[in-house]
Amino acid sequence: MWQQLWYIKKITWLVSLGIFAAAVWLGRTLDKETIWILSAMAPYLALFILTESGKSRGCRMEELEYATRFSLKSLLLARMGAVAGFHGMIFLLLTACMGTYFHSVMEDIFYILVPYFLTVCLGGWLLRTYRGKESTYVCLGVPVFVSIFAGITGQTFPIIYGADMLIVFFTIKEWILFFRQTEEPVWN
Amino acid sequence: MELRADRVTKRYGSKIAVDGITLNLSKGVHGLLGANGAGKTTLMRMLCGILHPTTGDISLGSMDVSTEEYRSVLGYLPQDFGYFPDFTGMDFLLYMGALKGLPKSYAKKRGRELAELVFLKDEMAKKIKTYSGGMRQRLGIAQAFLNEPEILILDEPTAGLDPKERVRFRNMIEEYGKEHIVLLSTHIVSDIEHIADDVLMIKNGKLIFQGIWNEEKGDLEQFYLKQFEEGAANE
Repeated sequence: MWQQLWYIKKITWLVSLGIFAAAVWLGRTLDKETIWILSAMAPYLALFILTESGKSRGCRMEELEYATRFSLKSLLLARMGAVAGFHGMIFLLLTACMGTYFHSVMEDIFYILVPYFLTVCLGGWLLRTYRGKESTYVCLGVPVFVSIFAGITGQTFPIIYGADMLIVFFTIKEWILFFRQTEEPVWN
Repeated sequence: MELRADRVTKRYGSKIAVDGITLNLSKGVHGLLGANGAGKTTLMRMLCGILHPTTGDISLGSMDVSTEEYRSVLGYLPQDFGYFPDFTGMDFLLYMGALKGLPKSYAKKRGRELAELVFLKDEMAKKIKTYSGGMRQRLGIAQAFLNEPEILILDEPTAGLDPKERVRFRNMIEEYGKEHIVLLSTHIVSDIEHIADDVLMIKNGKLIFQGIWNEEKGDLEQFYLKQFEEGAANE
């Protein structure tokens, strides 16, 4: 399944590195404004988890992939694991590369992670709900929505940051349901 | 080894898509005939392990249909399939080869052989989005053969092929069926008339006929239409 790394689009790695580079540059001096900018950028990183997970369904490759030796579930896990693992490394490196912290290390990273998880959660729900190419288009809107929402509410009324554990819980729940759905496609 | 389906049923709420079908398929070409909506695709998906039967069992020898071992000896062409837009023909075959657990060098060699067999040798470096419908169908047929499967399941494989391509395809299947189990579904009788060792007819999810067909028995198409008329009369 490591061969799946070669089939993840190069733009996924390049844009993720680009966002990391921008975050490191901005994070040289973290202030109140910079935190929310980084928080608003995080959903675009999460977009690649959604596009890689929804690729087979969006391109109608699912049925071919179902009937091969490796199950579709393990295929998706391999793809998602690779991208999520890469993003995990990015967040770890970010904590090391930031020059200063506005609040504390954990708190600043937390403000960046919550929109990331919210994007993954909403995107997972949409991928379960919409089939075919529609799912790809709908998922493209999720990071935009979360980014604007995080950017506006973060400074004025940071409600999403208070619901952090709830967001993580629903993220895990959505993706368990997503993987359960890969076990048998919806008929017609 | 035989592919066995024992009283397989697939139910969706009150709708019965496949109703108590029992099959024993050995080496040879088996033609599955039925109208649109008869249950051919649902049955084939269950034989591929894509759908779980509501009741009944499917196995190949000692291998249950839900196992990796079974899927490693299976080749499947769905009725309708897509492709990743950036893929060339060869990328597609290598990708499917990776999913079938084939080493890359072997998948490449096998891909080239199959490309030649389906007359796509000169198109393999081109993107699939530039292919015609018939070319995509031939590429789909090629991927089904990649792992030299023990069981080959083809759902309406001649859709989009021109008459010359259909004849080539029939010859390919006939040859392959000598040593492997091939199940091919169609609603076009001429697709299987000359190559099927065994004909199965499905209507409303039920198997209404299963038997060996040869020219001495007459015209298969007339026989096929008669089965459906008799079925309607009995109802």
